[in-house]
Amino acid sequence: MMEKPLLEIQNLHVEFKSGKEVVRPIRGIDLKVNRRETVGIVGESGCGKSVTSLTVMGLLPEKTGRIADGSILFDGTELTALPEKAYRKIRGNDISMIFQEPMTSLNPVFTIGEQLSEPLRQHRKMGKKEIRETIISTLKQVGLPRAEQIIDEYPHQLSGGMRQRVMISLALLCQPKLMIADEPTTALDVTIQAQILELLKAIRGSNDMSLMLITHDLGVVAEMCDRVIVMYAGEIVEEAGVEAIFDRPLHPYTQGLMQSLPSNNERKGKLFSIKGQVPKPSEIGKGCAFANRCPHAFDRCFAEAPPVFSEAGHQSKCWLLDPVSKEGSRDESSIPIRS
Amino acid sequence: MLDFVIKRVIQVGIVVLLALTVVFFLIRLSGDPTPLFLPPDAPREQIDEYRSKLGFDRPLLVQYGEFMKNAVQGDFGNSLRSKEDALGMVLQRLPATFQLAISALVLSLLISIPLGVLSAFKRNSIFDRIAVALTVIGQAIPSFWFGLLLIFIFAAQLKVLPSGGGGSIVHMILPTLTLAAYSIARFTRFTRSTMLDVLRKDFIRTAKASGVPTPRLIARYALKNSLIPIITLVALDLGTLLGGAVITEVVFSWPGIGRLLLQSLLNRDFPIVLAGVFIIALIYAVINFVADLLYAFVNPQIRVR
Repeated sequence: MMEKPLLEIQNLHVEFKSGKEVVRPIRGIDLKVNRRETVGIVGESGCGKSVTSLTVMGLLPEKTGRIADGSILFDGTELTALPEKAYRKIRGNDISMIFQEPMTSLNPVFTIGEQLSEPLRQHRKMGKKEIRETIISTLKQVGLPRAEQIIDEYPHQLSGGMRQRVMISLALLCQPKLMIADEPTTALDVTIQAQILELLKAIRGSNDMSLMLITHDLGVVAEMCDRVIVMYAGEIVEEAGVEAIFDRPLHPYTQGLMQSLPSNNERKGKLFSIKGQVPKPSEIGKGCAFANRCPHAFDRCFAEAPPVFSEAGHQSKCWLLDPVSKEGSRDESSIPIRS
Repeated sequence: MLDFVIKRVIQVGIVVLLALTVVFFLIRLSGDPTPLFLPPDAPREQIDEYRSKLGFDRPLLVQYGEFMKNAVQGDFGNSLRSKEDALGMVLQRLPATFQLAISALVLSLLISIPLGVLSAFKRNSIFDRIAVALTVIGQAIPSFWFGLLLIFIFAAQLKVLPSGGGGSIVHMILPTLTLAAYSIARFTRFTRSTMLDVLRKDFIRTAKASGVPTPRLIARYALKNSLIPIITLVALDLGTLLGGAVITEVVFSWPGIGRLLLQSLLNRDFPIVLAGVFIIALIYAVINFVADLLYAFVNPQIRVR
């Protein structure tokens, strides 16, 4: 029998209120993160990746954001109805998070040690000396030189890459069951990016921990992930193992993403791009959210939202995969499937 | 660091000299003081003689040079009226002014920082709206009117507090409130907006993600970041409280520098006015200097440079 997943999100809907307008950045997503698994969430800016992670952390903006529907089951605990006090016991302890901006994510007026002691203070009963030792050993674990000095330094004395390592050690301190990394390398130099990814991979490998990696970079996904979830306009449009998705992307959006990778365009003069823009939440009609940009869209795509079609663990929300609508409307050659 | 201190000390000197220069010339626009010190029917020769004795018959620039020469040595001359040492008279009044300014400052900080923090944290709540409305009123009310209002209510109607004079704690209550009203309003608004700004920062999200409880998040993490801009404002306002308490001191007959300055101005007692301006300008500049040092204390980014 299969082990229960660590994180199981079902039919999650998130709403943001701005004035009288209600925006729905997450519109019914289901996703699972198994134990000791690295799951990548990919998609363009504004597709709901970061909102998903903030929702899991319980860090939606208090006044404006709310979970409208659905459930988030984490290690047997339902998070959507969890009181703030109980949630706080999970944050930084069982679930921790690394943010995109290492330059602004650390408080400039406190030393690294003061900031890193916080999760241990909140979640572990430790003396001052023990806290300090744990921090130093964690800083060493993430590959920071002179950890004994860095602990007493201020964030502005460290480079971007070093700060991201500090953020990773902050997320690592309480040995979480789930680490969420929201674009952890986007703000860093390319050489540093590779180092940070290696570090995350090593940490994932040596701990009993799952990693949810949010990125828009398919290269990072190929390098790091076991399974990939592709999001578009607040929905999950495709989900598969990393090899399956690169070998045979089923959703036209995923195909577009793959084609936009520079390596596939080397011989052409121009880079491929998906025409149009992600629709604003208010512009999404009753059909498929991608229909207006999809090269293969047909009548049904505009009239009715596609359900999830699944074959051998590879799931995709696209009418092209429906055996019935395939008959009449689909031109077989229009989906470029690499063999 | 030493460089910085030396530079700032020179700046303080320049500011004070400039202030003295401007006031020296402006005050002369009020006219010749000599007739005020003689009987109204004094003969012309007597006035001329007295004027020349005081040195006011010389060219203005010569008088200025003479004044500056003495002033840099700490000699502002004697009061034209009482013949006492002008600087001494001002310094004698200094403790009373300090007492009032410091108590007003302490009162405003005690009220405004918690109020501003709460207001920011509970933004757009009823509490926040009432607090914001009060701060607008507090900033808009002129202090002479507010002072008179307090006197009317507490001294004239309720007869629970004295309307003026100095000496005891009881005497301080109304002038302190009057002087603090503006600062309370200003600090509260500023604390609120600074705090709102800080609460939106990424590092606050990081602290939340570490499981820091909200009271600790605000009291320890957000407040220290907000303090940096607040210190500047407080330092600037302490200068204003010390130098600008003139109206409050006059309304409540408080025996401080402000009231002495006003009386001396009306009497055209130039040495006292200039000595008073000297002290106030000096305090103002020194406080700003201290604020810069305090910055370095709370902001490590400045400390290192």
